[in-house]
Amino acid sequence: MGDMRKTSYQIASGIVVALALLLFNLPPRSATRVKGWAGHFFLPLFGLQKGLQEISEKAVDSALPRSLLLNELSILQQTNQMLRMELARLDGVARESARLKTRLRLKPNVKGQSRLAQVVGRDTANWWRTIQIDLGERDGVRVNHPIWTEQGLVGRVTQVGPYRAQAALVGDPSCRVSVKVSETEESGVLTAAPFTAVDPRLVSLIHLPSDTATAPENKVFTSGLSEFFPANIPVGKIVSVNRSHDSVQTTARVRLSVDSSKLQEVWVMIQPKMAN
Amino acid sequence: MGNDTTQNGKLMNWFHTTCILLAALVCVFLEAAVTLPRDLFGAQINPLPALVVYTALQSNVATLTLLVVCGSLWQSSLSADPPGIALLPLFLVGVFIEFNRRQFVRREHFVRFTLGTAASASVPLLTLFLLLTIGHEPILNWFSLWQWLVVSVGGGISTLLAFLVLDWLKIALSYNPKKRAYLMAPDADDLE
Repeated sequence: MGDMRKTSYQIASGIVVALALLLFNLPPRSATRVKGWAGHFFLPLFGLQKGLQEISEKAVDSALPRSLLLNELSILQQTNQMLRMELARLDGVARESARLKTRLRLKPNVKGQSRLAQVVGRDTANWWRTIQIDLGERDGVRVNHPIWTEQGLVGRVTQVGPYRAQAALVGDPSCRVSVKVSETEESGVLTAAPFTAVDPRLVSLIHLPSDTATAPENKVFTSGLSEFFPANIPVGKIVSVNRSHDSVQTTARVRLSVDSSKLQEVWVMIQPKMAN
Repeated sequence: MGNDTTQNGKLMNWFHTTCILLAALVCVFLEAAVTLPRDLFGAQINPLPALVVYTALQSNVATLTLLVVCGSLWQSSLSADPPGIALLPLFLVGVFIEFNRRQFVRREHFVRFTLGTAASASVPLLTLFLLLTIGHEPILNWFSLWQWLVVSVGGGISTLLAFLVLDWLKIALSYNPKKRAYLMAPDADDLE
């Protein structure tokens, strides 16, 4: 009996060690495939979660008085009309900008279509900052598509499954964002810092010039220098600037405009160039 | 008659294994979907060490191996971790407890809580060690110590819950032959 137990320990240890070595040495693409395959087991549970959410939303909707809904509809129709007029005006500006960019031989802006996605999960580990969204490859989502809300940039898609995608939030080590400070036009890179673990809204802005004019309360936007993020998406505000006389660069703390811990819905910017 | 009992026992073992694996799947899903512990305490509680402690004390090495393989793959599929990063830490903790399970008074809640806390404290440490060894850069600072404390204590409480739910399931859905009713030894399966 003792021998049998010993053999079972040896077999189990052999299997686990071999599997661990195999998994650690997988190329990135195969590792993503393995994770995608393992993630398929959660499909019924995510389906159940979505079903329950829809039922609760319907229950809330049916409990609301009709007059309130009609009033809200009227407000939304007015807002829609105003936004359409604004869009028509901006369309002319965009055409003019595209024409000038062609003349100056600059890279044209990538036109994308945004799709609303529900946040269905968060990273199971405490040392990463990623979310799961309920849109996947079938909805046109691809790796590196930007994610944002009306408040600002949220992150970018890092893994895509058929029905679900994983996105790294700004502040995760795998989501570095090229940004510019609107008041000074200086560029830098947003990245995770140790203090991000305490307050997920605080990140570090690195590679600012040593003689930077950047000051607290300055606004930070995406620079458009990165191939993933379009320009001029709001990102956050400068909290403090840490100048060092010995260094050729300055770092700053940035407070993100989006509180990712309260995110329930996000927009995925589906860019046709990447989708192809 | 004896053959029937053996077959029932094997079926029961498989049923118990399936229950543990299903519990792992649901718990990992809830870990990703429910943000209450993260919102309240700033850290998410890992349910797998608690299930590993339960399996190591109440089941066999085969079930333990299946749990650590499936559990670690499922967990990493909902995370930015490399696939199966927690495989070795969970297995080491599980095998240690399984190997020494006769030393533990497993019916005592305090022992279960202590083992759950110790397992939940060891697994993230070993996982982080592996992550750093293979060149990843997780977000760590002094606040991570608080998160580690929350994860450890939360893991201890989860272990008590795991025993409560999975033992209830085992008793409620199993066939108990009358001839075993007189057995006084609580850990009769271990008598070798």
